[in-house]
Amino acid sequence: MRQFRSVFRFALGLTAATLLATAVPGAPANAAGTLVWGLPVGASVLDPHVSCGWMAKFVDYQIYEALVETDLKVAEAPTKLRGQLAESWDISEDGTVYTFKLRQGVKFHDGTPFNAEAVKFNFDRFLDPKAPQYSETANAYFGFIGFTSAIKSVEVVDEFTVKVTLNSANYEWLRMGMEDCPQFYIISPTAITTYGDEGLPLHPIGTGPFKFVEREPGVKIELTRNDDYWGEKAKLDRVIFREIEDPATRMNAFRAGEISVIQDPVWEETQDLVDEGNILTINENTPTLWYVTLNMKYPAFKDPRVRQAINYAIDRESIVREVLHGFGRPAYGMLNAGTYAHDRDYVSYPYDPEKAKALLKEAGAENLVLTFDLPKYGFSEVIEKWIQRDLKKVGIEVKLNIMEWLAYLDKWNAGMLEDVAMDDIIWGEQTPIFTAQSYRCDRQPPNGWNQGWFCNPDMDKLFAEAEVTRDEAKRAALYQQADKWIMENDPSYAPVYHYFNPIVLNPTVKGFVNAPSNWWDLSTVWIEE
Amino acid sequence: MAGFIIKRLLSVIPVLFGVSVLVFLLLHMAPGDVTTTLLGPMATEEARQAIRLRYGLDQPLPVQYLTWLGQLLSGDLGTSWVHRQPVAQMILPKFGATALLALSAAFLAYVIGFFSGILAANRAYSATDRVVMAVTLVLGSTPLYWLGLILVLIFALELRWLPATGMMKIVDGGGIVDIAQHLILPAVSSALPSAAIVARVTRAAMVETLKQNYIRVARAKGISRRTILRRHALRNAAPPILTVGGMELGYLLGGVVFTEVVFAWPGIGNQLYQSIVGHDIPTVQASVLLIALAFVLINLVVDVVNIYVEPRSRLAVASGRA
Repeated sequence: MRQFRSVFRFALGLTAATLLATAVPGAPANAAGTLVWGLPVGASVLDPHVSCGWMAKFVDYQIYEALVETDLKVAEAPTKLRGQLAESWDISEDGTVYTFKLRQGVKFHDGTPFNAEAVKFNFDRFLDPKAPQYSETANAYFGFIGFTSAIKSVEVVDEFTVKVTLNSANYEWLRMGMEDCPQFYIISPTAITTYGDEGLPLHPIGTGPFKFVEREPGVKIELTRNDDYWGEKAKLDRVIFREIEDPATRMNAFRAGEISVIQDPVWEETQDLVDEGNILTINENTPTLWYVTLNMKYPAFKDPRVRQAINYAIDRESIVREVLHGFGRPAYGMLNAGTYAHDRDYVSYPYDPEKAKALLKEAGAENLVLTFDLPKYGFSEVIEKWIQRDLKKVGIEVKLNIMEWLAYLDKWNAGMLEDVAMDDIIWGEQTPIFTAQSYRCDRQPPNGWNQGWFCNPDMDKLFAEAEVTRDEAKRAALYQQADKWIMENDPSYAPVYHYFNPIVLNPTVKGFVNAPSNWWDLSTVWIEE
Repeated sequence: MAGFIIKRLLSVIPVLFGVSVLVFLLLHMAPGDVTTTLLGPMATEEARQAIRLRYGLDQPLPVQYLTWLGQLLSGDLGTSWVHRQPVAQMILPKFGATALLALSAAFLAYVIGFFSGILAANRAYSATDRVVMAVTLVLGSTPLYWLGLILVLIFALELRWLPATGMMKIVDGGGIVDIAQHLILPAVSSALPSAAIVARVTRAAMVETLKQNYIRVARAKGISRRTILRRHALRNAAPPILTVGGMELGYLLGGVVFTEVVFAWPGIGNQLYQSIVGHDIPTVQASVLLIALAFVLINLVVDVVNIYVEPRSRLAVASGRA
């Protein structure tokens, strides 16, 4: 009974949290204050053209603006695109020419005027090796996601019009440049010239609603409101991001009132925080997906039945309930909940250990011993051990090979070797094109992150067709068709769960929207003492 | 005396040289490609190669080491690969924060440890002695991490007397009072295990000294217990106490990393951990060297103080036997 009550109370809490996440209350005229946000991981460098990671993107989102950016002022998924520095944009009939009409009267935080030349200057930072501001690092970053190779030319039409011509039609191109690695934000050309690649991270100068004040590595990043902002000004006077990696310390800082928001609270203590009067927000449609990659080069995985068996053997429902304490939903496909192509009702492999055993027997793959490469990263180890136990139940022995994050990333990036059966990662972008890139033959390492070496030319045709299809619903159908076919017939992944991004707010924090994203818009937030 | 100090100072050089070689080699042998730190996971092989050329990472290890050493000797600690910021600018304030915490903790550890050790020795084998020793045994074996969390729970979250994290208020913080308030809990939790060790060494040294014949003679002459303790026993018992005290300070400088994590104290230990995990080689090298330098210098100071306090050492130095 007690257990039932606590589950009920939790479900009630989650419902309230979802409602809260979607409500955007009006702010009083004198709304202001200082927000202290507890980051669970340190942010990488604040140069959006050469950095990866959710934390840096979160900070950058407040400082910089793009031509077109996702609207995080609403909690509904999928996110919509809105013109930021572009007042409007037009895509030609054949899908290859993007014309941007730029906003006039906008200035960077250092007073540099924003115009078409500034946009071109930013493009040339990674496109034109002859330009003085050219950065090979930026070129490497944009090249890897396929953003650069899509561009044929960039042209200044007049002071406030820019025309970008693509090599072929691509209706996801805008979103490709706005995810977490890297981001095509427009940086002050003066700042790029003055500080160079080395100095820019400590002088991030954009046009956004907040201005950079200072950064103490490992301690804090401080921003202040941009009072000259062209649009609706931010309400907060200041935002301070505090980097506190230890979860227990972060919880203590929150309980002592030393941070006003805690991102990724300790799951099992989150209900206690709510009972203490704090506010829990979640979003059930974030793009964050935790998945296992199955190595197609691994000898025992040549038979798709073995990979199907692994998918049947993972008890996703229990992982979500017992480990995540309800802050997630089982994942049965690779199209994450943050994209328009996600199908919420799709279930590829319900938990069925008997079927898994039967498939393994059929394939003659009993008594398998598999190596599972994994990173030391947050809470993942509990889930990996859970999977190890699940697979043992169907007769598969799993050896966990844990590595430091950077060492892991190197290995991940190079693609799995033949002696490794699987690895995992938590990731997610708001465009399905990145899911397609996890499958496409031409995106195998070193040209991409299809690091389980899946390749099927028929599926590639579907992905290529989706890329040049203008209608979003038709595009979604194509992505779903491919993903479902692969999942059911030749699975190269075992998706495990969609994460809800729990964030707990001190009751004084108002106006926060837990958008379907891994970073949030703080310009709507204020503090009510 | 000056000769002794110069000799000891010179002996610091090979120690630091050894540390620098060791750190340099260890980091270069660690798994993970440094170009990933600099370029991110998305880099092409050409970009990686360009970076290796620019930072001289294509050179043989001895050449890389000597280049780094040359820069170091000219006062350039390099630039952090992760934060793209001069290492000196990044780690010196953090070293200051660690030094403040370690010195405060050491001070507390000496005061608490020394007096409880004397108290126990003065009443050796009595109930007081047993209680003091039992308490120090428990404290000495308590994990710092756990002790820190318990202190935060009681004094920051329940009683709300003291702040839970940081070195100063994150919003408009600063000033002596603010820092002092933030210092209490981390300093106490770092100090208690060290205090236990100082107490046990003090007790042992004093009990041994109080058994000596000259103390018996002094007692027979009717000199008060207090005077015997202060003027006759303490001086002779001092060397081991001072040595352990110095070592504890060195240990605290390097070992407050756990306290720094629990209290989000912006010190060098915390930074070092982040830099190792992030493969930020210039920062790791400079941080380890700084900690090693501090450790060696503290031991030097302890040796010099020992000579002043203990006449036998002074004689030994004068006769060149030290």
